[in-house]
Amino acid sequence: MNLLTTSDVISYANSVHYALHGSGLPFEAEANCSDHIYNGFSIQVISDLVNGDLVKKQVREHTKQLKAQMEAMYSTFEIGTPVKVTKGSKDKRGIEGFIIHASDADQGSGKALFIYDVLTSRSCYARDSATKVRLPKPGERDILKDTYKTCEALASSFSSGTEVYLKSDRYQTGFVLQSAHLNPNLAGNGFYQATIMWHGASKKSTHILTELEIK
Amino acid sequence: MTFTSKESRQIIEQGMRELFPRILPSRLQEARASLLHHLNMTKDDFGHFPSGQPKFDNYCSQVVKSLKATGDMTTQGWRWIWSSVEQPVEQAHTWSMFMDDLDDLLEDEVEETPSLYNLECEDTVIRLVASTPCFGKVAQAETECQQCPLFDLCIEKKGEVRQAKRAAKTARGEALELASQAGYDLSGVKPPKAAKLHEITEYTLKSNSHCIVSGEELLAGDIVYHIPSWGLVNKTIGESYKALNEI
Repeated sequence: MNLLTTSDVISYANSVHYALHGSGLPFEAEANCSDHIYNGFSIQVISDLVNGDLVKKQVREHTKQLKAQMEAMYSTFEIGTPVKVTKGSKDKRGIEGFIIHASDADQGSGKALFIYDVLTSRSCYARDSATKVRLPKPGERDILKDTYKTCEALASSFSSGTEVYLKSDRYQTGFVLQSAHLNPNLAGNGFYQATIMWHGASKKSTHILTELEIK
Repeated sequence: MTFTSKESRQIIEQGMRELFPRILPSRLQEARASLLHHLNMTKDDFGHFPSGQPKFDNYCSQVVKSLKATGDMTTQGWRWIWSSVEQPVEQAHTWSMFMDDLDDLLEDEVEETPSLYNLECEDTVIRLVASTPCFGKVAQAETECQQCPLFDLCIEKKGEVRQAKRAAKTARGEALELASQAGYDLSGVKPPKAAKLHEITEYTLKSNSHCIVSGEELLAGDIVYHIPSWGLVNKTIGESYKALNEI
């Protein structure tokens, strides 16, 4: 019996798992499985059920292809390229996000990049020389797409005066000071965001819409 | 000036015949060194192999072999003995008397085959074996092997390994035969390197699947074997692999 493609491997592994345990293959990343070689199914389990050498080979080839694709995207600073910030202040260094916007740097040569990490909601500006390309984590690019879509869909709901709270801290409540808009510095790129005046703190800050929840 | 192989062997043989009746028995390294001294030559005079090893040692082994064949010499491990010493009766008598006296004088101090290593000591043998990566791969004609203190043990070990290999081959043949009788030719099947044949497990199938080796359908309720990191195999093939793994 010859297993050749990744679909062959998934199909056979699934049939073996059913035959042995009476259930289908377990997922590693069920909802978002972009860039996952086996559509989110656990590589470890698959490797145990079918030809381990073949799984290893396929994973290696997949990683190689993905690397080549990401490097090509990074060479033109394409929006949506996954990067890691390698230099700069402690706050910036280590951020693993995507290029949301790239423009010529105000000073010196190179590009200024706006980077956003969809998993931790951290963002920063960085010079291109302070970044390096990386491989997207499984499902990460799906989350990025979802974030764009959700922000666009929610934009009309975040009008001035709407009471909101921060998803990461439910006790931090406030109201929308400036309704949903695109960041003017990103030339039409980026996510819809809103400026919030926080209760009790008398301070305001800007957040993309997926970070906020309407009360 | 370089000699041909034949000339070299002739020179060495002549030298041995002149010298060895007087100096043997002796360890082969010492005998070779004495021979070179007797011939007033060096190892370089006999040339080198492309690997850089001197040809002299090799020629010596060849000549010793021919002298052994004619009965002029015998060897015990790495000790050479001249067996056709013809001593005048009177001189031999004197010599034996002298040796008896010497034995009486030295008694316990004289050992037959002095060696740097006491191979009767288990610890010494273990340590020697551990520091000899080629242990068990003896080539009996090789000079280096003949000089090795583990020479005899190495031959023994090689024999054991060979026997184990032979037994494994037989058992493998039987296991393959078992599958062959059921119509499966496993001789050309190469399990993946990752396959954990030692973890082969028996299962009763809960739903249909396929045998990874033969491709035949396996039905729910069948007793099959799962080889981790390879796949499901039918009972016959599974039992053959199980037997192969037990070798």
